[in-house]
Amino acid sequence: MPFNKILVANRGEIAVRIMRACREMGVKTVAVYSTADADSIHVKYADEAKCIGPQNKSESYLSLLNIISTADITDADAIHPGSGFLAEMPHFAEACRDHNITFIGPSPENIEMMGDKVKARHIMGKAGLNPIPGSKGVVEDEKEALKVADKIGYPVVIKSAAGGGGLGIREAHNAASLVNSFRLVQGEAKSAFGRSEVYVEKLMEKARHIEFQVLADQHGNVVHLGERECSVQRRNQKLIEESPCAALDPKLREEIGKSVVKAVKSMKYSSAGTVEFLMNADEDFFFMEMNTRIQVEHTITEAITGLDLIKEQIRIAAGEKLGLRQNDTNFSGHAIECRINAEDPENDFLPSPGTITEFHAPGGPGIRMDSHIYAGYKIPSIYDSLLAKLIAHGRTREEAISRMRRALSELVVDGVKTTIPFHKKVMDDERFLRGEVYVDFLKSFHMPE
Amino acid sequence: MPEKKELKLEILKEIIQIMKDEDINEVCIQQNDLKIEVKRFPDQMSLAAQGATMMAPQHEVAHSEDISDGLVIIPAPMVGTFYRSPSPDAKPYANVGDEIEAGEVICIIEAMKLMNEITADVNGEIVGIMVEDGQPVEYDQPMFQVRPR
Repeated sequence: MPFNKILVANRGEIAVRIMRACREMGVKTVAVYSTADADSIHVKYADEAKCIGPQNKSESYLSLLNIISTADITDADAIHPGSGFLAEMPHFAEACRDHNITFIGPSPENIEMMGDKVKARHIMGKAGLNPIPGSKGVVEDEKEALKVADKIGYPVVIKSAAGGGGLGIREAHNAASLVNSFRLVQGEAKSAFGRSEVYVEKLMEKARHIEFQVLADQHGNVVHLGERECSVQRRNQKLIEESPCAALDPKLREEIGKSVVKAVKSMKYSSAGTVEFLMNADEDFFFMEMNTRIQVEHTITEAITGLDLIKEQIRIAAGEKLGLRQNDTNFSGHAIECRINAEDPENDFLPSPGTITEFHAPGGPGIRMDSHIYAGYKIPSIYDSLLAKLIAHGRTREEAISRMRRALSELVVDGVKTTIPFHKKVMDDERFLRGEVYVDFLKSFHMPE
Repeated sequence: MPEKKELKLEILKEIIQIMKDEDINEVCIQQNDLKIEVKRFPDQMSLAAQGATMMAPQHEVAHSEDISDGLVIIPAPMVGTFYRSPSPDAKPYANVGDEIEAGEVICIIEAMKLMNEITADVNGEIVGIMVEDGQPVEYDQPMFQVRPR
C-alpha cells in the first residue's frame, strides 16, 4: 500500500476513476466538493468527504488553501489532482511539497516548463522534437504577428502561451483577420489563464492530432504506451479518441516513440504525461504541446495495454520503480472512446444542463463506461459538460466500431441533450470508417436535419 | 472637516497603488480612530497562486443563514481547524450569552498554518456554539447559533 489516504482534488467521473484505483489498492480516499456537488457520486464513493466551498470554482476546486487545508484535517498523505483545475498549476504542486503532502504528478518544475507553451516548444525543440512552424517566442503585437505569418504563410493560429484545454485559440486566414483576432486572444488568454502572452503557429488543417502517452518514474525510467489519435474535435476540444492511429505503421510508431522517450527523459520527468503532435500528409510529426497530467482519454491506452494508469501514477509518486520496460509493453487490438457530453450537437454543441431523468449504461464484450451520472442527478451548469466516457475495445478497428455502435444504441441518457446522436452518426460516417480523420473533420461534418 | 477627508483620500490612493504594485489583495490599517480596509478581487489564476504565498493574518467574513425560531446560523466560510480564542491561553472571543456585533471577530479558523480571524455579519446574542475548540470544520459547517437583534 503506497499511501494510507489520498485526497482527490477533483470532481465528476475522473474523481470516481481515481477513487476506483485507490479502492483496489486498499488506499483510503477523501473527496472534496463544492455546495453544487453535494449530491455527486464522487462524494458518496469516497471514504470521507469535505465540503470546500461554494459552487464557483475559484473558491472551491481551485482553492489551493481549502484543498490543502482539507488534506491537513483529514491526514491525507497524498493528493491526486485529476485533470484540469489545479492539476497543471505549479504553485499547487509546490504547496503540496511544502506541506509534506505527496503530489501525484510531476514536479512543479516540470509542470511549469511544459505549462508555458512557448517554453515547451523551445525545450522540446532542443530535445529533438520539431515544433509546429511558428513564432520563436511570445509575439508582442500585431506587427510582429503579421511578420511571423508572412514568414510561415497563412492560415495561422494565435495561441495563449499559458493555455490548455482548447481555450485561448483563434485562427486567422489572412492579415485582416489576424489583426482582428490578435487582441481578442490576448484578452481571452488573460481572463482564462491570467496571462495575456500569445504566440503564433502555422494552422495545419489536413493534419492528424496524434499524442503519445508516457510513464516515467522518479528513477529515470521512461516508457511510451503508444499513441492516441484525437482528430475529431470541436473548438479544439476532443470528442472522439482512438488507439492505435489507423495511419501509423509500427516502424513510424517505434521511431516517434523513441524520440518522445528521449525528450521526456531529458526533462527528468516523472509520472504520466502526454506529448501531443500534429502529423501532416507526409507523416512528418510536429510537436504541439505536452500535458503534464492524466488525460480524459487515458482509458483507451488502458484498453490496449491492459495497464491501470492511475495505479501506475500512484506507485510512481510513492517512489516505486516502473514495473515495465519498453519491450514489455504489449498493444492489443483497437479501442475507441466517445465523450458523452451534455451538449446539443444540432445546436453547435451548446451546453445543455438539466436533470437526468433516465440513465441506462451499455454492457457486453469490450465495453467500458466511466461516469458519475445517475437517474435524478441534477447536472450543475457551471462545470464542464462531460457526463460519461464510453470506451469500446475490439480485436480490430472494425470490431471496435461495431461494438461502439452497439453500445451507443444501448446507452440511455434522458433529460438533457447529449452528444450521443452525434457519435452514432460518426460511427456510420464513410470517412470515419475509412480512417480518414483529420483535425478539420467536424468542419465538414453535418448533423442531418 | 475637509482636511481630514482629503487626508483619507490621499492615504487610500496610496494604499491602492501599493496594492497594485506589490500584488497584494487585502490591506487593513488602523491608526487611532482611522481604520481602512481595502480588498482586491484578482482573477482565478492569481487566487490559486495567492494561496501559496499568503503570509499576513487573514480576515474572513462568515455569512449568516436563517434557520427556524428567528435564529441564524454562522457557518464556516472555509476549511480548517476551529479555535475559540486567539491563542491557547487567551480568553475565547465569544461565549454563549455574549452579544456580538457585525464585523467583530468571533473565532479563528486555522488553515495551512495561517490563523484566519472570522467575523460575523450580524448583530445578536450567541445562543449556541456547535463546534469544539480544535475541531476540524468544512465549508458551510454550522459554528454558532445567534439570535439577531
